[in-house]
Formats: sequence, C-alpha cells, structure tokens
Amino acid sequence: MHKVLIVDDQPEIRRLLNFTLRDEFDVIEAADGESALAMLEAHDVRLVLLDVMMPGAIDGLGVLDVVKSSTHRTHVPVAMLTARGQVIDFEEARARGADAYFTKPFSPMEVHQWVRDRLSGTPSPRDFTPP
Amino acid sequence: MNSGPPAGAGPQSDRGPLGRVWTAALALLVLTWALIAWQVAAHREGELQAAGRDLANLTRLSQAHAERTLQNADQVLRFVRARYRDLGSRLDLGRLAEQGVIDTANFPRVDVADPQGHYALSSRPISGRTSLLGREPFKVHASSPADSLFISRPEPDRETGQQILQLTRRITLPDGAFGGVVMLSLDPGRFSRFHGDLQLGAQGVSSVIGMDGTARARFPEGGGAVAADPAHAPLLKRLAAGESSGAYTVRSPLDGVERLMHFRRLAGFDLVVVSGLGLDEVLAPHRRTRNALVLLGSLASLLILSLAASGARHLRQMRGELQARVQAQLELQQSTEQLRAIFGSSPDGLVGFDASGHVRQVNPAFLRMTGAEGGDIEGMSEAQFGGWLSARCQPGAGFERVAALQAQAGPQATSAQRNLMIAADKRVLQVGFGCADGPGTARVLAFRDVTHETEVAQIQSEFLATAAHELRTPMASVHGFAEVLSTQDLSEAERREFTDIILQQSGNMSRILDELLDLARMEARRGKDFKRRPLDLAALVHDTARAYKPAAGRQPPALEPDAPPMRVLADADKLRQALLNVLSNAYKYSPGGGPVAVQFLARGSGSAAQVGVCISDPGIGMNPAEVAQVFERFYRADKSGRVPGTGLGMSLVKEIMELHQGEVEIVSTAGQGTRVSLWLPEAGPPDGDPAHA
Repeated sequence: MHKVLIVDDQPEIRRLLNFTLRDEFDVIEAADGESALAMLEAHDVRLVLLDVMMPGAIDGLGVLDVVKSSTHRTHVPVAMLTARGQVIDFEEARARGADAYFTKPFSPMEVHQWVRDRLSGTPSPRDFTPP
Repeated sequence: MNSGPPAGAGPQSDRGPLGRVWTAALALLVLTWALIAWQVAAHREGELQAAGRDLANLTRLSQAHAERTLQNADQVLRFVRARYRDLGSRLDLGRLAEQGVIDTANFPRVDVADPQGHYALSSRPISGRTSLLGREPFKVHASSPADSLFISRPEPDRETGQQILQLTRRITLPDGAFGGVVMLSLDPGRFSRFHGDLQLGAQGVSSVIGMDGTARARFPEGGGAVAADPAHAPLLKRLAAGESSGAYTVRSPLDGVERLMHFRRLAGFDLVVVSGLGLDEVLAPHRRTRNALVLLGSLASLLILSLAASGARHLRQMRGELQARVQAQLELQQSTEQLRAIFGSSPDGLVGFDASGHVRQVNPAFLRMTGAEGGDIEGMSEAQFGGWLSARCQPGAGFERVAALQAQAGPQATSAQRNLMIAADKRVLQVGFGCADGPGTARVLAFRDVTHETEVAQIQSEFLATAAHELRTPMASVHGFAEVLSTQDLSEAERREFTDIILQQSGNMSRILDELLDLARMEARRGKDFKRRPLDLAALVHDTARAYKPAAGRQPPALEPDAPPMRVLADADKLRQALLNVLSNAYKYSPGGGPVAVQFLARGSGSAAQVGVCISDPGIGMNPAEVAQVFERFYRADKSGRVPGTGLGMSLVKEIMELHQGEVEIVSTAGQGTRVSLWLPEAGPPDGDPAHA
C-alpha cells in the first residue's frame, strides 16, 4: 500500500481524509509544517495532501517547496487543500510545483479518485498542466 | 459738456493734475483777456492819436482860413482907410463894391464913421442917422491911438438883423488926432461854412474865439450866445499859460458831449481857432474793433474752458481707471496671498509648474511627504522632476512623466490620478494632475497621502480573506462528512461520530457568523444601539458567573464575596456577553483545570474613577508577542485546534469595552496563566444626588 501523508491543522479534516483513503492507502497524519517535514523524512511518502494555512513556522507552501526542491522527492505528487479560493493562490501553488489544488469545502470522493489515479499513473482532470 | 466749475471739483478731487488743468485754464483766460484789454487800449489810443492828428490838421486849416479871411478883411480896411484919407467924403464905397474892389460876398458892408460917431461913408445905402458913439469898437478906437484891428463880438446887423462880426480900424489924422473909424462887416458864416466843409462829423464843433472867451464864430451855427462858453474854460487856462496851440478833452455842459479839442492861436489876431470832434464818433470804429476783439476773446475763453473741462473729465476718467486698476491689483494681491496661504497650509502636497514646464512652487506638505528640501526641487524641469520622484518610489509603483499623467487625463479632462509608493517609509501617495484653462502657471501636481486609507483597505481585504478561510474550514468538514454519510455504508458509531462533527462544525460556523455580525454591527453603530442603564457591575458579574455552566469536571468561577455596589452606565446584555467571552476563554485555555477566579477592582478618583472586574486562570498563558495579537480577529492562542473557538471573542470584548469608554487589560505569562481585567468609568450617583446613593 502506498503511503499517503495528510497535513492539516484541523483534526476533522484529517479524520475525513483518513476515513476516505484508509481502505486503499497507508495514511499518516501531521498537524503542522514541522511535523509534516519530519514525517516526510521518516517515511517513504508517495503522495501528500497539504493544507496551506497552518499555524507554526512553516505553512503548506513551505512544505511544498521542500518537497519539490529535494531531488529524491520531487516526483512525489502534492495536492494543495485550502480554504483559499482566489486565483492568485491557485496560480502560486501551480507555479511552486503543486500537482493539484482542492478548495475547501472539497468532495472527499474527488480527492480519493485523484489520489487513486495519481498513484496508479492514470491521468486525472484534476492534474495541473505543468506551468 | 458736464464740466463743473473749476473750484468745485469736489472734496475727493486731489489738488494734483486736475487742479493744474484748471489753473492753466484760468491763466490762459487771464492772459487772453489781458491781451484783449491791451489791444483795445492800444487801438483806442491809436484811434485817438489819429483823430488828434486829424483834428490838429483841421484846426491848422481853420487857422489858415481864418487868418486869410481876416487878413483879406484887414487889407480892405486898410485900403478903404487909405483912400478915405486921400479922398475924404469923395470916396465912393458903393462904387468900390460894384467894381469888386470890395468883396461884398464876404464883406457885405464897409463903412466909415466920422469922429463924431456918424456914418460918413458906406458901401451900402445909409438910412437915418445912427450914432456909433456908444458902440464898443468906436469907444476902443476913440480912446486909444493904437492902430490895431478890433474884431467885435457877433451882433445883429442893424439893417438885415443877421449876425455879423465887425472889424474896425482907427483913422488917425496926420496930426495924430482921432479921425474916425473904418468898419467892415464880416459874415461869421464864412467861418462856419468853412468849418462845415471840414467834415467834423455830427458832433464836431469849431469856433473862432476871442481872447476873452467869447465866440466870434462857431460851427454848428446857432445859440447865438455871446456869453463865454464854460466849455472853453480849460482853453482859456492854456491860453493864459501862453500856449499858442494844443489839445485837450472836455465834456460840454451844453450838450453833454465829450469832445477831443484842438486849438490854435491866430497869428496877428487876438483870436483862437478851436475844433472839436465828438469822442463817441472818433471812437466809433474803435468800438467795432473792440466788440470784435471781445467776441474773439469770448470765443477763445469758451474754447479754453471747454478744453479744460474735457481735459479735466479725461483726467477724472483716468483717475477712476487708475483707482479701479489699483483696486484690482489689491484684490489680486489679496487672492494671491490667500492662495499662497492655502498652498502653504494644504495637507495635500502641491507642486506647481510654470508655463515653461519648470517647478515653480512646492508646498511644505509635499516636502514632508517626500522628505525633500524645497531648494532641491524648485527649478527642475518636468523630466528632471519625474526622474527625481521615480527614484524615490518603489519599482513598479513609481512616478511616470508628468506628460504621461496629462495624456492619461486626455485632452478634455483636467485631472487624472494614480497611486505611487515612496520607498523610504512605504508611504502611498495619490498623485493628481490638474490643469487650468489659462496659459500661465496652469499645471499643478497634487499629492495626497493615502497611506492610511490604503492600509485600511488592505486590512479590510485581509480580514475578508481570513473570515472566508475561517468559514470554509468548518464548511469543509460539514460538506465532506455529509458526502461521506450520503455515499457510504457506515457503522452506527461512525455515523454518530460524523453527524456530531457536522453538528459541531456547523455550530462553529454559526457562531463565527454571529460574532462577525455582532462586530460589524458594533463597528457600524459605534454603540448607538447600546441600551445603557445605570447598573451595579458587581451584581451583574455575580449573576453572570453563577449562571455560567463550566465543562464537566470544572469548578464554577470563584467569586470575591461581599463586593460593594459598583455603579456603571452600561448595556447589561453587551457587558454580559463580554464577561462570558472572557470566562469562556479562561476555562478553554486552562485545560489542566484549576480555579478560575473573579475579583473586583477600583482605581482613580473623581471623573477618572474606574471600576473593574478581573478574571484570572491558571492556564497555558501567552508570551508577550501572543498577548499583542490577542485582539486581532481570528487570532487563536491555541494552535493545535483542540480548543474550540472562533478567534473573534476577544475582539468583541475589546469592542464592547471601548464603546463603553472602558478598557481591557491582559497580563499573561506563558505556562502560568492569564489575568484579564475589564474596566469601566464609575458612574455618578443617580440624578447627581448623593442622598439617594
């Protein structure tokens, strides 16, 4: 089972995504940027679902930058989950290398489908085209 | 012509140009009339002199004529006397007359009287015997042996009754005895007619006068007065002084006519020829000339006056225009000073360009905004100014050319605006371009410091984004779990868990919305909808704390007992809301348990007196940076998400207290707990009457 990392400061969201994905994937959780980076180091994470606005020194985009700038993890797909819905955020996430972007409130089934497609190598309509 | 009199130019007229115009006019008038008077006098003098010369000539002619006539008559007398001496009574005078020896036309009679006074001979028949003894000529000759011609006064001829002059000479016998008298009658008309021919004019007079002052002949004839004419008085004086000719002026007491007179004494006769010309007549041509001159003078005066009047009017007009111009200049100066004052005191920065596109004026506000020195900028061209300002702006938010602003304004519009940011202190300036229609210093750049407005707008925008985020987060749970519930088969436990999450998160959303609306309403109404009543803060705190239901396992708030009444003027509901928020935070942020204490406070006196309530908890506390953020909206002291809340509670508390003119004070230490004090101004006793306190 592929290991999927869920990063969100809201326990309800983590619970929702965990419940949605746990049957098919090995789900691990982090509540902020620092613990997310620690988990990335500790586990062979194959996909990240990443909240943007989080308390702490490193927010979601910071985590994204780390993932996309490390040579051995740059292929790890990252989907941004955020309450932000403005175009500028969407463009910024895409510019910084995010692979998909889900705006809260999102459909758990859509997220599930994207994760499934992504990890099986099937193209998804949710994918960003590279900038 | 509306010229006033020169002297009455009015009190407002100065003594300057206007006075000089009238003075010059007056001088011209005086000069004109003096010239005319001099001309008239000179002309009169000339006329008189000419008349005097004429009169002298006429008098000389008269003199010559009279002398010739008398000499002729004397010759006849001498001839007759000589013949009488030779022939005695044989001398036939009638025959001599017929022969023309005696000119009877001029000398109608020639007689010879014997020494006894009887006519011895006569050129005309003698009727009767008339004694001449009593007659003056006879008496003169009989009494004096001198051989002199005697000329009598005019007297009527004894036959014809005509006035005649008698010329007589003594006949002296060889022994020297008196031998009688030769007499000759002379028609005084001979003189008169001659004088008539001299054209002395209607008022002219001419006389032959004896040294005694009586006239022997006169023109015009008439009067027949033998008595001395009083008009001859000056003449007689002159004669007595030994003068033989001369001129004088006299007014005749007889006809009242003033005359120019000339006299000449006859040579060899005790007679004077006097001629006179009426002064009126003499001066008649002069009067015409004088009248013409006066008319000329009057016309000249009129001309001078009208010129002066129009000059004065022109001057007055000019003065009026000058005064208007001075007034206008004064007003312009005032408005310029006003504009300068406005320019100087304007809170907006202003940069004025002159017609050649150089900076001409910079006001203090602009220098403050840009931190520049006035001398640096003044005189810069538009391009230099643009470059100078751009260098001070942040890249991308800088100043373009003035021309660009002008182009943006378009040909019709007179103003355009854009924002730029000064790099040094992140000031945001809104620059506007103004262009007046006139050709002068028409272009002005106006800079308004909109830093604050921009910040407010930015804060509002960020707040909206934050609020949206805060609402979307619970919404994501509600939406996500609802989808799970509706699409998946779940165990009863899962179903209950997810339903609880939905309820809790939707409740959370509802609270956020309520508190947001509360905040928005309070900010909008600024406390105007507060129902303020005098109330006892201690009682309100007691009621609220007792009614507060803490979470299971927690002690109710520990209230300070026996609090004195604390009078405040407040909206009880709002105050209760603030208290509940603080109490709720005290419990939420002391998850480890421990007592939440409520104490009463008082400080200050008089109008600065305040009463307050302090709620303290032994919870997680905050560091100073966190304390500083407590009142920011959606700030959460808890980052773990384990403490429920909206992040708006303390913002609401602060808003409520400040709208009551109160304060919120927070003292907190991380890991040790937090003390929140709410202060309100102490209200005076009801109706200001201490007796009812």
